[in-house]
Amino acid sequence: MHEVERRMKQKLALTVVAAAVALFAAAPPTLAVEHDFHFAYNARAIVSNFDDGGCGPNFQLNPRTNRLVEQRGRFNYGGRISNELKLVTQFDVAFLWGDGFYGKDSLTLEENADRNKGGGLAADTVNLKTDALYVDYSLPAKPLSFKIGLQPFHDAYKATVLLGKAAGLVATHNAGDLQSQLGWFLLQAVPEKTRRSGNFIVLDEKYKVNDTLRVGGSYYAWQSDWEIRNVAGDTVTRQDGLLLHYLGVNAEANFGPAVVDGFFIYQNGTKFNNNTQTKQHVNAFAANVSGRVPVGPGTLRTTFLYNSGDAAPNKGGRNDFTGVVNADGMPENYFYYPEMLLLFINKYAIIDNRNVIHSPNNDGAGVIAGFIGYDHKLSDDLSVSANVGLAAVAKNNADRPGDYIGTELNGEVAYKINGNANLRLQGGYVYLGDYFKGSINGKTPENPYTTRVLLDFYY
Amino acid sequence: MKKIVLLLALLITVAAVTFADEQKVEKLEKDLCLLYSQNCATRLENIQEKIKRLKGEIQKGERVYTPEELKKLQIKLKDAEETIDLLLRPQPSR
Repeated sequence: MHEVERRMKQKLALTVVAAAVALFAAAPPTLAVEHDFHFAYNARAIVSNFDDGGCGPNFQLNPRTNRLVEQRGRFNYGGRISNELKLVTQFDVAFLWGDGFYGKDSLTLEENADRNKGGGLAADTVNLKTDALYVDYSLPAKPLSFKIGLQPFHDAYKATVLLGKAAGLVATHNAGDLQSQLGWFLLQAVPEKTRRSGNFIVLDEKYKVNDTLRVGGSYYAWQSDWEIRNVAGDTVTRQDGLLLHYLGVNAEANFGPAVVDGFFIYQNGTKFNNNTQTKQHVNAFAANVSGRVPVGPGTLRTTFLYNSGDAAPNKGGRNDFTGVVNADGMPENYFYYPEMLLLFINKYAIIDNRNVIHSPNNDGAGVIAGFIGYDHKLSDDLSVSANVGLAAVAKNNADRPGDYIGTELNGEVAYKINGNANLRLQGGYVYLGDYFKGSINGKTPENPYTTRVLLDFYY
Repeated sequence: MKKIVLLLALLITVAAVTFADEQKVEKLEKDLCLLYSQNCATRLENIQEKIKRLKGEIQKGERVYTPEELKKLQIKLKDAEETIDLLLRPQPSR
């Protein structure tokens, strides 16, 4: 009896093994984790009287000629576990050649291992920034997905509201031609020390009406009651105290070979003024129209931006449209769209963040700006571009003799070294307007110029 | 016992032949590297080329791929496009 039972068990086991082998062999190949590695390299060599590796406007009466090289590597790893689940990570290392070593400052020898350091002899400094570290999860058989974790965010308004990275949760729903996005980002919070925080809420709709028209609408909310304290933590040095609502519409339409797009975004709410220590009502807007059209052998691009300003920020309500700023008071919005080198941030910027207009809010003065550019491909490997930008403040709130900020002329020659590597030569010059007349102790700063050689590739 | 061993051997052979046969057919039409990361050993490509190839394969549609496989290719295309956006995102670090 025992022998029969043993044989039957053996038979059953063998049948199961056989069936399993057969199933495995006949089934389509299944996936384990799919690893995806990518990399982007950027380097810029700069000679300029304005760019010096720092941040913000840099006007001087007798500027020296700065020579600097900056470099960045971006390491991207994605791990797809299934059709539904993916991990997305990206870290970047950036530094100025010659700046910082062994965790020390090159100039003062202070131990200040910091971001953007470690470009000096020995190259030894902790210098890693997180661009992305999130999980992307899609519901099986439903058009709903979630991105959970630290992730980049780019608004639908040419980065005039927020282009940054923050920890949060974004849900995306696709229903045919309608895409809806609902998201929340926690901008600032130290839970064990304070109940105060900064938050950003996103509700974005995109609808493809037909092949020639796409429209969108958004509601963003930026709330912050964050306090910036001294090192001891017992004194508040600056505070946000704001709740700003953004309501925006955007559209893109094709008219034959021409593409026109634009937006209008309205801002309403309250914010705390650190100068007057009072809460102010905010009522402001930004608007943009851009166009691209093939002309002759190339493409003509135009852009217009109006960012409302306030003539007296410390009196009454506020009419200057503002994008999100960080706890340091620095803008986390980058109007790189018009391809300027000096007037606004350039899309190839690595570390240096010197701009005549640091953000469209422009310290509350706002901006009225127009841009025109032309791209021409001379061959498969060689292309040239030229741009002109004109800008004025929307409201003169600094008691300057005029409103005109300046005119930028710039050009680029780009050479494709191979499929994914480019060498670029750029040059730009800004004729400062009467807004800067006598702006440094009654004297006028020198016109900014920059020349840059860029090497970039990614794979 | 003999019968079981024989059955097992037969099953494995049939399965192996079927699989090999399938692979032969697929190799002619389907891109197994894109689908299942198979036969990629000799293929070194950058992300732009991968996107181009994915778009080309997706265009072949259901003539070549099953709906499930097409979905997989579309997911991979979206992944690759999001990766490029991340690699090229314009934000200075100061």
